[in-house]
Amino acid sequence: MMSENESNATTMAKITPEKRVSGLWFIPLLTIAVGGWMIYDNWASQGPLITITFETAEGLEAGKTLIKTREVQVGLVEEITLNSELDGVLVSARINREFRDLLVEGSRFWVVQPEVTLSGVTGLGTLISGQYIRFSPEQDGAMSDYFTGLEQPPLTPLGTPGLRVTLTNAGDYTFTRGDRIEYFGITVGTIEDVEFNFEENQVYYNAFIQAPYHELISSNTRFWKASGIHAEFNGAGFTLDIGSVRTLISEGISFSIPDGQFQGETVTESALYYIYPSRAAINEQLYIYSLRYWVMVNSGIGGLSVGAPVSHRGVQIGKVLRTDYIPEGQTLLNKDMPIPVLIEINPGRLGLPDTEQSLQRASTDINNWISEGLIATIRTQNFILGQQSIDLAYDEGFANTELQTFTDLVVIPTGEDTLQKFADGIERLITKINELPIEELMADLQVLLAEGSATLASVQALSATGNEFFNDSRNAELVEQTTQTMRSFESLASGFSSESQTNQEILKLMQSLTGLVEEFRPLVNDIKNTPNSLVFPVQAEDELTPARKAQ
Amino acid sequence: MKYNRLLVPLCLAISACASEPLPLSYYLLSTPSADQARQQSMTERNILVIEDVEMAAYLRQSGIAMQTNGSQLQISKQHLWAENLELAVPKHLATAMQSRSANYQVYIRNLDYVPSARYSLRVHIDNLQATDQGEVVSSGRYQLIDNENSTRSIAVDFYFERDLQEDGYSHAVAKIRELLGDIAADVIRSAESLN
Repeated sequence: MMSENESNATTMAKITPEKRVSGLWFIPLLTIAVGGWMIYDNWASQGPLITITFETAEGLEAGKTLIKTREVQVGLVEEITLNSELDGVLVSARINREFRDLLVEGSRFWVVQPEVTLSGVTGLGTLISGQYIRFSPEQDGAMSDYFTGLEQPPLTPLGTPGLRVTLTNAGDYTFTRGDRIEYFGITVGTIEDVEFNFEENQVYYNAFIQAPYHELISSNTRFWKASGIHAEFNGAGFTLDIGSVRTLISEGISFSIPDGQFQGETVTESALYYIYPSRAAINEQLYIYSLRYWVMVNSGIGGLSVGAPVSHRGVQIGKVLRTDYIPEGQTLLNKDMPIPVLIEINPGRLGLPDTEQSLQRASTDINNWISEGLIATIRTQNFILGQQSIDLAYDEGFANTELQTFTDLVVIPTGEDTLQKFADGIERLITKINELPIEELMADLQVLLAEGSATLASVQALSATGNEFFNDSRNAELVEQTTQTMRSFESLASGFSSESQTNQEILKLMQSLTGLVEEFRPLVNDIKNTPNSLVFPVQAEDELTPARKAQ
Repeated sequence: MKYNRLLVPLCLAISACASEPLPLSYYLLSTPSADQARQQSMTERNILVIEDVEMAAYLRQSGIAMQTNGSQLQISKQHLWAENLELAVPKHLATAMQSRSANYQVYIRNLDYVPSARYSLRVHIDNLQATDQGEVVSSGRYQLIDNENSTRSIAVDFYFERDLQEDGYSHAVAKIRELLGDIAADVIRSAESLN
């Protein structure tokens, strides 16, 4: 039972203030925080976005085209847009973060795609995997996020040890990017690109020589065109120079040291070299200074070509420069017009230093020589090819000749040319032939011919007799009849040959007759021996029968 | 008319005197055999052609000859060859040679088409008969000519005999058949010796 005090006591409710923020809100907050952290982590972990420019986006596709270096994926193309000038494309690519340090200025990007050239086939794997952008990082330099893509893959990877040299033509032949540079048949380098200098009207080739072959390049090195087959006709004859098999289908350049020269100083920086037309040409020393003269030729100059040697006492001292000059106001219709041939003489070939000072001395000496009788004579170097050259020699008949000039150049007097001498030789030969005892020989020959004629007459008579026999109508008829008879006989004989049907029939008939006769033989014998046997036959018991051999 | 009446009885009388005709037996030299059936190319090299088989005159008769003593012969009137021996012997020789060696193709002149032959065979048979001594004998000569080199040709005189184990012409004919087989084997041996 409850007491009164206890019943009067007021029970006080315990009031607890209600929480204003529910604990459930922690969950979305946590979600937001995790999501934000993931976004930040993703943003913070992605690599740099770079831009590469190309002329076209052929083979490239946003979100698919990979960027690789040494066949390892380092990035992905994210966007491809046209540039503002509409003359190229901007390729935005994301490079993986771990490779961001490779994005150095000068790094090279190019599109790898299948390529078939004379040098070989490359990029075949992209037929299956798809085209990709190859990234060749530069070693040192400032970081960059903008690169200009190469339209063609570089022939030499960055960092390849070797030497870059510049080559230029010494002739009208050309090479293209990728052509090989060979050393004794071994490919040691390539032409990386070709430039044409409009001011100099000259083609320059940037070539790369791989290590260790770059050490072969020296100040005395000469390059020459080793493409395919090089054939040359000149006064010395026919020269055939064949390169390696590869150069038969693609251009090639070879290099070496000219015969008799030392290796020279090793080249360490880019240097300029001429490409000579042939290996033989590298052995020809280049002379810078020369003196020019005219040679007036009265005869033809068909075998005298530009470059033909000008010799003195058998030693080449210069060459022909021009043969097609016709003086103003004159024409070839004028029969007496001499044809001017421009030649050059190199003081260096005369043993003088190849300097400007030597020009004056050589000029003075040559003028003196002309006064003493120096003349130019055209000689035939090669009778088969008809090549001609100019020979300078002395002729006393031309001594004290006054110097003549033509277009401000000294004219070297022209002597009797080789052809005229050849004609004289022929004339002397004819004279000797005339002195031969031709009449006696002819008399003997006439006797011989007369005897031959008599023999021929006999043969002709015999032939005529034969013709007469066959032409006679009666004889012809006889021959015809004989021929027909022989044909008939042949036909008849063929009918009686062993395999002929007639012969077989006769054979069977004879066999049948023989059999019949054999059948009648016993009857005849019987009738002959016993005439009554026709009615009373011989008794059978009279015949013996074969019996077994007695044991 | 009077004679006609006599003619008929006379013929009847004469025919009554006639006895029955002799029974005749014909013998084949070659008996047909399945072994003979074969096909062969005619382009092979060793072709042997039987040019001629000449029989002794008494062997050309249809009656089978039997030697009754050293110099006497009996030509049977009852036992006859079904085919002339001059025709039958080459055929049997050809068959016998062909069955004994596959190295040669044997043809008979005047019966077969004969391509260019390596060997030519000429045979003449002097004896081919049974004797009263219980034997069958054959003798004669053959020439084997090498057409590619005539200097290598040979001529062989042969003599073969076999004993009769039974009586009668049938057995004798069978033994004669074996004698021809002996000749064929001898010819093959001779041809082999020329190679």
